[in-house]
Amino acid sequence: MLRRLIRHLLGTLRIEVTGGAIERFLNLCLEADIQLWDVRRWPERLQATLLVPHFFRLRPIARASRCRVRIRERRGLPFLSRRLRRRPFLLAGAAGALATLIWAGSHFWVVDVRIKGPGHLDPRAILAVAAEAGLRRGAWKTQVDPDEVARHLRQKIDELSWAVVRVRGTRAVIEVVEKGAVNPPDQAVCVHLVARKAGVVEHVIPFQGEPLVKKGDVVQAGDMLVECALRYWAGGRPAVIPGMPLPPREEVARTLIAQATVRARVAYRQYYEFPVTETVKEPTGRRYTQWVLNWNGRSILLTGRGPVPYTDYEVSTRTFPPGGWRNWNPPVELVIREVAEVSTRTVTVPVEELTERARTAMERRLAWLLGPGDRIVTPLRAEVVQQEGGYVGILVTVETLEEVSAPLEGPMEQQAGDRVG
Amino acid sequence: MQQRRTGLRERLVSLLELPGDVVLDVPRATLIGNAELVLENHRGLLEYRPERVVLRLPEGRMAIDGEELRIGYLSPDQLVLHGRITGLRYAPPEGGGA
Repeated sequence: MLRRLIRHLLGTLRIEVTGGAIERFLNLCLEADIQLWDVRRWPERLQATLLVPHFFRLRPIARASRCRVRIRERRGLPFLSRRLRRRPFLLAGAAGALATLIWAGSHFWVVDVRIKGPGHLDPRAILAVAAEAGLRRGAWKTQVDPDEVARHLRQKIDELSWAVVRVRGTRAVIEVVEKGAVNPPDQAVCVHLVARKAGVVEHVIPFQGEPLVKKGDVVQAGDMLVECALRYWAGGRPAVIPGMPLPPREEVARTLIAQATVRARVAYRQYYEFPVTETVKEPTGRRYTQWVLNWNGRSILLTGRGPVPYTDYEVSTRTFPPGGWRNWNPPVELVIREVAEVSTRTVTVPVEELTERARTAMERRLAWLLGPGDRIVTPLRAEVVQQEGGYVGILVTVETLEEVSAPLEGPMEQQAGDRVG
Repeated sequence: MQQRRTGLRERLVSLLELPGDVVLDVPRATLIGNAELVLENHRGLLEYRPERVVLRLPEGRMAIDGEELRIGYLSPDQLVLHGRITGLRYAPPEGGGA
């Protein structure tokens, strides 16, 4: 091999020797320490191969043996380089191809994951964690330490009991063994968190799932806040390949019940309308009493016969059943109806009182709407917006900071359009 | 005198169990089947034809008969011969012919 390489580097010549004493020519070559190979003899000529530097020592030998020497073929690097000098683009192409080959061979182009174990781990999670340690498709081989990657995998993923990275050319194979007892997430259930009210997001604290909103985002009721998708799953946490785009939603491997705290500032505007005047009834003190005995579906008037003698009155009724025995009730009861005469007058209600009524009504409504952790961030503002037609219109505004997320169960594909941002 | 010196040298080689081709000035021929002959320590070519090659040795000559004989490698101390070798003979240094 080495001899062939030296011959190629120095260059070889195929010569043809004719005439004279050919055996003498060969012996003189031996005396001059000229090496020959592939020597072939025909009756009138001889062909042999020798190194280019030796060729220049042949002239006295040929003269002494009265032979004629001709060059039949030139081979080797000196002749090749001379030819290539005339074809620079071929040389550039070859150099480029060589550089491309070296460049392509210096990268990882395939990163495979082989998992042994219960099969709960997502291979993409392994890839994502390996990418944190530098092992990703397209990475320079010199910049990746397989032992370091394996150590990083074992540190980051609790579910691994063993990991090793094997490099075969431009291919890296991550072999991991999953621990036996791993609790996988429930893949069947997918519960998103959606906004139940419109508001401006103040803060998002995700516990499970992928938050789709951030502080300052304006959300409308029904908008998706936290997605139930966990794209890469490792150690109960999402792991995302840095620098790589997220895969399409359809390829999401794991689903879960999204859990998060999403608090937003919610503005309320409520319009209340009250009449300016109110009718007030006041008793005059005159009373009229009727006693009625209801017996077996019939009413028997005991006292207070005749119609009620007042124009405006209010009736209050008291019923006295006689009491039963065990589960039997007698079909009789005494009813006392008291009729009180009232006088009616109209009063004008001040605007301040109406405003206070509107404020109270809004507070009562908020008490129903707000949860235990929610609070009012700005004081209630009641503004009189109109006082015509005998009515006072009051607009009450308030801003609250409250939890706006609500669970929404269902497959992700159907809710793709609900995504925010 | 020369024969006496040679005899002494041969006896010394035999006594000390030394390799003969190293100590004695004799050729070493290695025949691989009938297709290749490697000969070391030759002294040049006397005749070269496709059916016969005659080599000069330190003591005598060697004639190789065959068909389509060609020299694969030729250097001052080694010769490699290719072809279909049919015969190989030693001959005394002078007279007789191969």
